[in-house]
Amino acid sequence: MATQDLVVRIGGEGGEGIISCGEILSKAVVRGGLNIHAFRTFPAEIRGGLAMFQLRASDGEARSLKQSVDILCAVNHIAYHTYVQNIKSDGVLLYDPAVVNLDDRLGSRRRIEMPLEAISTEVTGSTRAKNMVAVGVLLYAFGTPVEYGTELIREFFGRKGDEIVNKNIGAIQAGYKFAAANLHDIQKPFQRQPDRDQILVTGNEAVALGAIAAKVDFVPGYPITPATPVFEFLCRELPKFGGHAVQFEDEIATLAAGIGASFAGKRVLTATSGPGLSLMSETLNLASMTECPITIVNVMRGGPSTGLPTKTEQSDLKFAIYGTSGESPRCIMAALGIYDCFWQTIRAVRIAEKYQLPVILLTDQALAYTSQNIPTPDLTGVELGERLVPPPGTPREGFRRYEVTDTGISAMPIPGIHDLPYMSTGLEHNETGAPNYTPANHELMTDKRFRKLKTLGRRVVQQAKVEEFEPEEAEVGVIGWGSTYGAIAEALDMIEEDTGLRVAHLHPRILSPLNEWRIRQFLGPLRKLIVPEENYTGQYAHFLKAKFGIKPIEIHKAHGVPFTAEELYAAIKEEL
Amino acid sequence: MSDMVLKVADYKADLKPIWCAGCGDYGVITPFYQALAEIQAQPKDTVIVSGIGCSGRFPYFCNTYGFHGVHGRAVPTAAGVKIARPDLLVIAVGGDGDGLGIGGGHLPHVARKNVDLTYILIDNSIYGLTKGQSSPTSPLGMKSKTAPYAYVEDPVNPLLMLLAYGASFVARGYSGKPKELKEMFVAALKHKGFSVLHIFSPCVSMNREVTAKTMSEIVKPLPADWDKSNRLRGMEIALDTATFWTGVVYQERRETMDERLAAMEQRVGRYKDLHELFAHYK
Repeated sequence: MATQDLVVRIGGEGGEGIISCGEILSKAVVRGGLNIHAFRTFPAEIRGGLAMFQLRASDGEARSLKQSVDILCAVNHIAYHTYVQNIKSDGVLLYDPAVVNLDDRLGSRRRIEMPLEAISTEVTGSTRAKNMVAVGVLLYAFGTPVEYGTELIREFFGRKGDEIVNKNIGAIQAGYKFAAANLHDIQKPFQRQPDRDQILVTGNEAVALGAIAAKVDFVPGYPITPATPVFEFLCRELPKFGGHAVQFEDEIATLAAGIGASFAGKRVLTATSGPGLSLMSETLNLASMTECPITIVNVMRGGPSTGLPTKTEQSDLKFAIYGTSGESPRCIMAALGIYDCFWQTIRAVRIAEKYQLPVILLTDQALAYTSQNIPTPDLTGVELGERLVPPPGTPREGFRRYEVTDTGISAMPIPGIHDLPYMSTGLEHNETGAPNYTPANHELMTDKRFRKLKTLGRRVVQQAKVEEFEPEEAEVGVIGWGSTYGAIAEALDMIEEDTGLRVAHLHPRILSPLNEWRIRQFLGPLRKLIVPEENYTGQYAHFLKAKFGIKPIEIHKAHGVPFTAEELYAAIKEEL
Repeated sequence: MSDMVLKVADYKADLKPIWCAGCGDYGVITPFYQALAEIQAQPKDTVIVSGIGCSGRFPYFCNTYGFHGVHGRAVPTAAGVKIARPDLLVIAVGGDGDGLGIGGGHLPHVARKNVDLTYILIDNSIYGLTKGQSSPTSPLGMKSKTAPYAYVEDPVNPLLMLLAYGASFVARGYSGKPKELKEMFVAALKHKGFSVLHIFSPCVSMNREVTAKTMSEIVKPLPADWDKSNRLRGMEIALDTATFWTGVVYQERRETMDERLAAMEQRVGRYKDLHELFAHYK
């Protein structure tokens, strides 16, 4: 039997409880045994402006956002006005007639009056619980028993006392009852699996959980949208694992403190976004030069400058790879989904520690604020990566902190642990750490530092850790990076269903150093390469063109919102 | 190592200081070595972090762990070392350009965090390493390569700033008074909390206006019965720009960043394992 999907969008005034409605609904639907992909947008202001929560539930994989919705739940007129055209032709508008004025753009689509405010007032005495009435209505639409919702109210609001709990439960039950009477033909025949061991997290939460799993024990930070939730999470949870999360006065101090802690032996991670990464760039070079491991999670937002702080864009790639003075080796990675945010964070910390260099893990606002259910991670046998330290009994005499080795990696003594005091400096230095500006030394030490990247590149090829689908008959291929994975994969499925043609797909997670061997192998049989990116200039395509001398077809979207599978389907199909 | 008595020479690195002959910084590093010996600092457990400038070379000449970072960031880098590893003895060192110009924004924050480290702010009122540009402490009217027609800006008052920022130990010294400096270093290194020494150290090569000669006319030790607990009095002598009062101006025992973090961690408790945290997301 084909998989079933239901996409619901809730729109209303920011601060009206749209997002908490979506969060409760998401958790209930997952506990009820479906897979979800939930995305939210919100205005930069705390209150006011349009807030939107879109919940897609499926009994198959829910890999991306969808462009058109089965149900639009318009809590105010602006939501109706903004989203009415996203309702599928056989979709439904649920609207509160007290606040929404319909117009001819609705066409022949089905409409159902949903008096949220009236129901809320009737049950609770005020309009404030209207978001919970909406939770009840939509629980019914997803076919999720109302008890999943009421149980969550007890978990969320239990501490606020019985009165609050009972009012909210009453509102949910009333909404559910209303829907049962009016929406009974909307439910889908989902195959549910309610007994899975899963967690429901956003990309930011997955990164923060990954940091804890990676045994990160020092997190300096400075708030910046949309990366702040990673830092807030770690401020809350890291002390309970014996680590420190400390706020500094700016991103410069943040990275400086991080390098200090790394020099002192700690596993360090910080999360930032474009403008913060810009401020870190000088200190980032210092980490490369002193060979101090550090992981920076850069949650990309629309730029440049202050740009679009609450919107998504894949536009920091070039800056991450090239954006500093001099030539400083670093590893650039990108997570391709929520589950991947968890694992790539562990991997980023592992690479930083093993290769003693900075690693920038790119995520973006879309991943950061998307929630999905993922299997509860099992860390059995996962290699966390240890820093190479001098063996016990290493004599001080003749010790070289920056010894040139085959891999480029040299042993790093830790203050207070190893009796091997040495000088770590941002000046060019020789193998012992003493400043040295001779031509031969600069060449030797530059090569030593870059040799670590070569070693890493070789090992990545051996592991072949890329997300791929490569049918032999494919003549057209897509290379993507980061959060576009789900939308690309779904678009290619749609194309196959439609045309019978299978398009190959490569989605590397380590973007620099580039896995040249793997990409050459992928490009080999292709007649045409398509590179979709959520930016204006085609940053990864530029990188591929320079390295391989190819001319890919580039699909750019710089709208501040993610690609949808439908958009990519149309754009890629055009090129077949 | 730890049961041996360490001598002054044990703190000197093989590399000898390379400052200009007659540089005030020699008068700073010598009493610093002596102070390390007096408190028997273990080189293995000691980290000296520096910024950019002539004084940024300080850790190269010390037989301890050393970290020479980027311009202006010695203090936050050292704070990272100390917060991460409270067991280490951490010292930051830098000049007036490094600590009051490019890195000036970090000082109030390390002071209010009361990170238990010692910051040696070596002031020569000039950018020496880059050969003679105006600094935040260059006096009004002083000529430099960037103020060829005389400086049109007023200098900052480092002592007044540090007292206002809430540094828990503030001392002022002069490189021409090494004995006094040694006592100040010992007190600063023993102090629990953020200790800062503002030390004037004349630049013999680049600063022709603020010199050992002009300084010797205004340097004066604080009276023996100086009340170190009176911050307001400290501010008064900071405002007395006709005299360069030296000594420990202010000292208070306040909980440090690491003490407060440790207490907070005690209070919030520990998870058994990661699964206890995963459970919140089920």
